[in-house]
Amino acid sequence: MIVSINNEKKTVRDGTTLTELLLGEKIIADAGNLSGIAAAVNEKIVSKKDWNHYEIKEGDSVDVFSMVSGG
Amino acid sequence: MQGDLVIGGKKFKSRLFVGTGKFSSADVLKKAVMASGSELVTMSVKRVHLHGERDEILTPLRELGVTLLPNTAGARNAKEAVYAAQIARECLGTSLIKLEVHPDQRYLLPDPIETLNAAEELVRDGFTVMPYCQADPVLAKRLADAGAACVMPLAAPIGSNRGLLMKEMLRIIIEQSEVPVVVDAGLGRPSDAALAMEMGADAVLVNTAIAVSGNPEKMAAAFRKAVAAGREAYEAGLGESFNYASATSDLSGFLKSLDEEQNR
Amino acid sequence: MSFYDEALSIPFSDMTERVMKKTARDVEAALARDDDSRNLDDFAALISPAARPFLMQIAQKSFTLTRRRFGSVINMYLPLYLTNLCSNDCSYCGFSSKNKIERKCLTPKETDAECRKMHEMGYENFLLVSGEHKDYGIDYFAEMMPIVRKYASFIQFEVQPLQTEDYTRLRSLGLDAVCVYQETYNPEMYKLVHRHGMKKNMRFRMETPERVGEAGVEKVGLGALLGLSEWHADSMFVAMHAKFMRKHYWNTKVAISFPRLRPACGGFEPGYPLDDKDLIQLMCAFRLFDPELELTISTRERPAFRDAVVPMAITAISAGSSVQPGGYVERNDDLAQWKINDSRPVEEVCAALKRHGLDLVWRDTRVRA
Repeated sequence: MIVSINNEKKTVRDGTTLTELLLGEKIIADAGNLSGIAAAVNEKIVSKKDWNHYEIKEGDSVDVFSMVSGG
Repeated sequence: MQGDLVIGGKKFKSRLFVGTGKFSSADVLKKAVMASGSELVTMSVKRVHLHGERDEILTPLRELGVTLLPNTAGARNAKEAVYAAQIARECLGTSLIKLEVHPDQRYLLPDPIETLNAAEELVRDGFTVMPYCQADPVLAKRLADAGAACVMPLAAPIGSNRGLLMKEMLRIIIEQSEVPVVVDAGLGRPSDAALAMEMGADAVLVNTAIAVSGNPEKMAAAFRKAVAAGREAYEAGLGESFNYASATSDLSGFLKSLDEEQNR
Repeated sequence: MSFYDEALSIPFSDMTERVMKKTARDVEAALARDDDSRNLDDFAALISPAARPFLMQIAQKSFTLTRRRFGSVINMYLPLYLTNLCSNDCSYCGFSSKNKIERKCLTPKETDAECRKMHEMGYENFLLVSGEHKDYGIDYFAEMMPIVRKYASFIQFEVQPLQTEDYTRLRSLGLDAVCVYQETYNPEMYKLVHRHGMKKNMRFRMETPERVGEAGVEKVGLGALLGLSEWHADSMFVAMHAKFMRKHYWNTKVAISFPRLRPACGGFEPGYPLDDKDLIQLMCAFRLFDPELELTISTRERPAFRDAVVPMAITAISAGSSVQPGGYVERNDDLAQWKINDSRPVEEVCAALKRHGLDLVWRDTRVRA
């Protein structure tokens, strides 16, 4: 299925979880260390504790955020 | 106000907050934050850049043990600000949020209405709201009434380094505020920070002046001293603090005795 | 154009009117003005009857300005009467030539004895006072200077008006300040009360501060005999005179005294008496008008009054004074100029001042070439 991650179209296997998606895109290196990042699907925040079992669907728009420098 | 600096239940010994933007590297940033003695730094929440370099500052800042204050920079209205705050909370696990709504791209001046609306919603949602706002005494009062943990009025437009342009308004805000006042934005020199502290500000936030200086570490140390000096002067009592209690009470006693004599 | 020309171009009663028509609004504006920027108009408002309800506010502001400019310092000075022989006949003065009182003029030996006594009391700031007589003029004063100089580190004169060269001569001998009170700036009243003698010459007297300035004397003391004429007007002229001296003799410090007309031998009653609140208001108003002014109070005023007002505005006082020639060695009240109302010993006066954290200064320790 095709989903978008931070506005980039990606093809992923059906039933991919958020954790798997982020690992696959190398956004996270280790599923155990999710500190400092957040994710929203279709502009709804998905809590980190749910990433392991949250399955993405066709056409979902996934946004991933992290903390960066700023004033 | 006198006493310790407490915001959102957290006690701060340092009254200098530091913004982390515009530094040339994470290493320079870390050294500057250390030199500043600051216990609170701001950060922004952004969408991750998938292919580019990651801005890895969380680790070095965490090593310093400072409080991380995410901001909602980039939000153009209350809805975006609330969303950004929720994302930041999800990222860091903190309910502290520096609320910034500046649709004005030229001067980055904050939108008062969107800021107030966002503040009200975020307070309801359990956030500890630290709103960046115009140096408008009425707005400051409204934000405090809405439950903001402090107010952060600007001294001058962000990044302008123009010092206490809003001095007279800041003076009024400081005089009237029942929550801590953190003078934010536009402080260009340590003497600006010292002056803000002498006026009674509870803390100042400095970013650009440190980040873009020729020697950020040294400049951070200078700001540290300036903030401490200004605060000490304020606590020592500037200007009109002559103890005329005994002299004036003697005088009024004497005047009263004159009236009594006359009435006899 | 001297100050005499400036002053006499304004009818005395106009000045009274100027003060009397001030309103509470004017007083508030005067109070709200930036310190160091109050003008004669503000002064008029502050001394006006309309300002009476604001007395405590004015006093508090005066306290702040006095502390800011002078810290907690009060300068202690002591009068030394050299002579009470006077050829003037002034209706308000105990030394008037018409009064049958015992006259005395100190000899050098007597002056030495007085000075020693004064020094023993702790003083080094002496105010030399004399009557006006041709036999006791500049040469007499010049003779006394070296004697006084042995004991005093600051010497002030309150004697008859002298010529510029006289002041220059005395300055070289150690003269630091000259007090010359105009008594009144009202020409009619001035003529009325100065019946005989050199003092009749109003212009000569009024131009004395300028001659003092010309001679480069460090400080000049101005003042009116309060109550002699309409005192609001006289005070306005004093303020104007102070401003004039500041403008034309910027090197010369200005001090203001507040001699309030008191019963003297001859029974002269003040035509325009000030009550205590008036005088407090006046002193504090001067402080607001010009924070740099030195303001003096003497032992004419009673203890309770002095203790109440000194912290609010005053920078120099006397205590344990004698207002007669020879009074420190051996007192003889027949020789006195006026009745002292604060006859407390020095220690008692000092204790009262120290209670308010005031720091009493007795000597001038500046390095002099």
